[in-house]
Amino acid sequence: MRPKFARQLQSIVEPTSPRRGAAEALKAPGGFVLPAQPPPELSWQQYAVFLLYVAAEIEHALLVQYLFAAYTLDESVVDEEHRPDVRRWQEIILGIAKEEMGHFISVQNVLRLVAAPLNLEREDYPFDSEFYPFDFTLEKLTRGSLSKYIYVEMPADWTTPPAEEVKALAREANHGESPNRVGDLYAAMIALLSDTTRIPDDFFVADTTGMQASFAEWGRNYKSGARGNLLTRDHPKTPELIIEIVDSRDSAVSLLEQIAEQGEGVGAVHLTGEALELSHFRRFLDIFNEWSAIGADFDPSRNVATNPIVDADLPEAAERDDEEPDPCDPVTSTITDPEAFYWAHLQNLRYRMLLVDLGHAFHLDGALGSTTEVTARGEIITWTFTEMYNLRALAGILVRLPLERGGDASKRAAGPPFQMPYTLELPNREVDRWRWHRELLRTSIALIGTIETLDPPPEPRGLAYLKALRESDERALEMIEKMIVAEQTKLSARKAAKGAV
Amino acid sequence: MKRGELVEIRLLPPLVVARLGASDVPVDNYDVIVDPEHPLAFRTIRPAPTFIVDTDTGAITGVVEREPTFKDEQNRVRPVAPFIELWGRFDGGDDWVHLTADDVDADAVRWRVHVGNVKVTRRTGDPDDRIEADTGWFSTHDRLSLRGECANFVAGKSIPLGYAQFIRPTADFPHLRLRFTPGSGNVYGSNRVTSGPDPNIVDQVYDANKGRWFGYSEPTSPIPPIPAFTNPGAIYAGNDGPNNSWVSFGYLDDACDGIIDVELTAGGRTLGAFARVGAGAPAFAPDTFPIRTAADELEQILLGPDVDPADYSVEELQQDAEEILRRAFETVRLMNTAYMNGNDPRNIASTMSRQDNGDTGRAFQPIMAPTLVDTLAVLNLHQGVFTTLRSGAPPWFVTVLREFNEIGDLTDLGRRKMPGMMRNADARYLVLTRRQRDKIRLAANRTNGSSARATQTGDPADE
Amino acid sequence: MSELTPKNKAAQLFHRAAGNPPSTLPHSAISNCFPGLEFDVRNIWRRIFIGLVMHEADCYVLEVDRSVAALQAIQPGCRLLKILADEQVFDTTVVAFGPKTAGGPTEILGVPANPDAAWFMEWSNSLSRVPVPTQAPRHVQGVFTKEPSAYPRLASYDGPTVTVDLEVRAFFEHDVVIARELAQPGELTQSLCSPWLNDYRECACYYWASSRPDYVDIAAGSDGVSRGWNWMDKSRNPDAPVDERVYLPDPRPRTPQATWITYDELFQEWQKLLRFIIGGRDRE
Repeated sequence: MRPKFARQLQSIVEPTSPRRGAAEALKAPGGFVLPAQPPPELSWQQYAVFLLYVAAEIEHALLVQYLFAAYTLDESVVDEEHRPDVRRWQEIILGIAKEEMGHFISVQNVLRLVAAPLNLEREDYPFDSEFYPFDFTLEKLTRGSLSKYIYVEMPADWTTPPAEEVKALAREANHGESPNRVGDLYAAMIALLSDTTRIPDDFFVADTTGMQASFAEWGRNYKSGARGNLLTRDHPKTPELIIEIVDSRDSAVSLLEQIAEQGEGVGAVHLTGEALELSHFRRFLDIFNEWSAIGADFDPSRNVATNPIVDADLPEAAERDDEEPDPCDPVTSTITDPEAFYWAHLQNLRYRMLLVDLGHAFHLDGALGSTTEVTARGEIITWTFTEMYNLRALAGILVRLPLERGGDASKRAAGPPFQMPYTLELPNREVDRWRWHRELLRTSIALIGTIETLDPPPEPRGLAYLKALRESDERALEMIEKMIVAEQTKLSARKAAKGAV
Repeated sequence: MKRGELVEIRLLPPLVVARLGASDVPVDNYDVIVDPEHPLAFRTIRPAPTFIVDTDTGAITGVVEREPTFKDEQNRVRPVAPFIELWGRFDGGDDWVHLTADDVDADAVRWRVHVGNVKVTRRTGDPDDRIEADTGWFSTHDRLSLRGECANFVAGKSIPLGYAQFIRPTADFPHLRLRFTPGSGNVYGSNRVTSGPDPNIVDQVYDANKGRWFGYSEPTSPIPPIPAFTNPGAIYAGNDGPNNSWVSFGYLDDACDGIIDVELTAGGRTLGAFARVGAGAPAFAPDTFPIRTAADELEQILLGPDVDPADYSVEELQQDAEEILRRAFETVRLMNTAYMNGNDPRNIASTMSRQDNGDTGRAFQPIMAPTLVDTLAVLNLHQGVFTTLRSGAPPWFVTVLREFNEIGDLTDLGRRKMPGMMRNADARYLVLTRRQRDKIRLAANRTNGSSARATQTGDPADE
Repeated sequence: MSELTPKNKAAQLFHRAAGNPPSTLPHSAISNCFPGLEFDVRNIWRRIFIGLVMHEADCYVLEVDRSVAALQAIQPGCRLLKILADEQVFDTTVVAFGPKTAGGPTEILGVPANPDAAWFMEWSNSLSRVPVPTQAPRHVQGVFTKEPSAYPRLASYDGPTVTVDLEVRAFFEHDVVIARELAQPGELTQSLCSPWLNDYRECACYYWASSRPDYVDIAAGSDGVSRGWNWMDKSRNPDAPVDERVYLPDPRPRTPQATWITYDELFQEWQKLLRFIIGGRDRE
């Protein structure tokens, strides 16, 4: 974890024993203990924002890891009998990833509510796992990695079989350390935000609701609840995308509680009945149990490299470290296959575009706008969704390309790197934000051109996809050019109206 | 060269669509193709071989390929006048062939075209309101008028429903075919007008003293309901009458549908076949195709609602899924989805939101988030799905496709299923045919080669 | 006689004769008919049960052939609630549910004209469960209301019902033609608007935008939102600057809209006034 995070955490976790690591403290049952005083540089309100920042990063990290894991699943690598299971597991994990996206967006809503900036960032390599549930690792789905995911989401007091097996596998998959339970972070946030003495009412700024994400806009059709149940939508325990606009302390606390209940087993809360059935924990565990029933050596995922990364330059071959890899250092796999290299850069670029679209949408008022008003915000939100589809397409291509130059994709595939861009900050003026989009689109079109003209060329399906993607980018560019002209004209007119000084 | 004994004949296509228009020259033939370099663009219209028919002799005098024009210089719409081909199968062979004058003596072929417009009878229940044209059996190559006659017409009057012509085979064009030309697209009325000549109609054919069509009325929202009416009801030209009724002006049109019969004697036996034809409105966006069509209906009946994976390769299923998406975005591209979404709180535009409220009492509300439904945004979303499909990604969205038995779900999530904002044949939200949906499901499940039924339990929708 | 393979049958069904443009194909005829454009395809189902004429858009009996002994207990006005086939039960209706007030709870949506909130599922998909026989008729059973019922009913209707043997007609003749008995001349179009031009002005027709366009000459405005014209707006200039294009909907209740084509104008001059749309733009 970046030092600027760790130092803030450390001082409050164990006020009587400042040397004790934050991570150690989290492993204790009950985890977080709110101290009597916030750390000297932070007020309680600031500290609440800080915890939300950490939560956002964790949700972001989880969702990317789950996406990667899901995209490595492929029914064509198993025998026909088990293909339906693998397909179903993939959809379940993608559903969980979508829900984590919902959590991520919901946390941004709460940040808006407390008049704080958004946090779309995420830990990247190299990685320090102090506070994150486990080392951020993009890896193919194995019983080990699945166990980590279960562990992270499990209720604090889970002991029934296969708890021991899962915990052991999770530890083994995390360099011998137990993963942290994120539920405790949520417990702390909930406790703090509910505390009217530490956090006064005016911390919550209700008129920020127009700048939040609504379920109607972001949730769309998502519902994975029971079929045929007439009144399912009203049923509180249906798993669904949690995204809500929050306008008060109560609604913010309630939202965080729902998030905790859906995935992260909250400290002392015992999930039972429906809530348990629909939790991430339960769904991951069901996959684990089905997998165990088939056999421990069942391998439903493609051999995608772990932590694939792509450098600015295409190396001839991956650098090999002759020393024993340090188990606490993330092992990255550099993509050296010439075709995969460019697809991987395209994937990074589209991932960046998704985050820029998301950030931009949050900057535009309109979630609760008048119903007859359609603005460019709608277009940007749509772009965010189409970028999600692009990630799916690109992952599908990258898990079928080799990692290494001259390599065999079935033995070691490249996979989607999801590397973070150097910044997610957006320019301040609206017209400049559109300029920012324009540059990203131009970059994409150029990169598409590069991939198309590779020799040997990509597969026909890849080319067909690129043709459509380029056309789509060109349309978007046309629209943006118009908007830049119009916005700039407005700005210039305003300046002229103010008169020369 | 004759090929052995003819054992069976057919008219192909078995269902053909004609389209009204007043121009003397039908629209040229054309092809509608997807530009592979611009997969998201509109399909392109390209000239295709067009038969030039001499309507006096009935012979095809030549073939041309020209850029089609849909109207003529006098702004009259060019009708779509389809050909129907006579095909046969010979003893000892399995192949069907388009018969020529060499296979069959043209004089031994006789046709009969029987079409009707019974829209009025459907409302009044009076069989004397049926308008029908029946050529009787004919073998000539004359262009025969289809005079729509009706017992309740003014004596001597009829509605021209078009023409039928048995094309005269020649050395250059020896194939046996019939051409059906639809009516001009006129509106007719009755001899009872309330004030002065009616400029809406071209002729007063209907005798309001004999039949009830002029002044016929249906109550618009009767309680208890009157199920025998058409649904939607009261869809004829008219105006408001007493007690919430809708009163007919007595208008008629020259649309029609019917049956084309053919018979021939060959080798001492008589063989028969028939096909169906319908004449309706022009297709005003000829480069665009609807999401759900009569072809989808017939294919489902013919081949069943469940797709046998052995019938399609993974590539073919993927192409079918892409084609459905293409038709979806083509339709969206011509719709004002912001209005169709029910965004306008004044509830004035005709939208499904308005229908939901009027038919079921469901709260009048936008269907999707109002901010997201500008046509270009909705187009973009559908094209985004399409683009991703092209990469070979299985259609993950099968779970958001509405199923046929979910038409009653008018919750927010139910209404947001796909296809959105459009009406189904049962008045609620559009559903694809089960076969269409199954093709997408199979493409999503990639079960090439294994049993379709066995994969039902593996459907990702069944979580 | 060798049987055609399914692919060959489909090829015959969809054969495009020489000289015929794509607008002659069933692929160009919409089938979400309410009531439809080229055909009201729903009419193919009226005589699907031998001896009965059902409503094309309702599980409602219109006529009964009294010479069919099995149908003695049925009379016009009865409603078919369920079909029993191969030990399965197929309901013909579903219940409608949703919120009655914005943000309100989900409720059964009964109204005076339909207190049970029973909605008929279109024949096409509904009967495909049976499934519809293509070559030879087959027997199923139908559960009907014993008495005529003006109001729609659910399969769970607790009034008296009667179960009769139904013979489902084979749909095709000669493999690929809709059976003669299913539709007489005129019947595929009988429930369409009279004149059809009414539909071009009426509700429900925007749902076939691919055939009867709604929003044309569309481009992105300078604010990123689409601009364009309504196809029925006769005052439109297709080449007007994008930001000046305004889509005007058909208002309800109808007030005189100076720029909308009126019904009368359609009847008199539709061929001149309605324009073909190619590439989303006005052409002839």
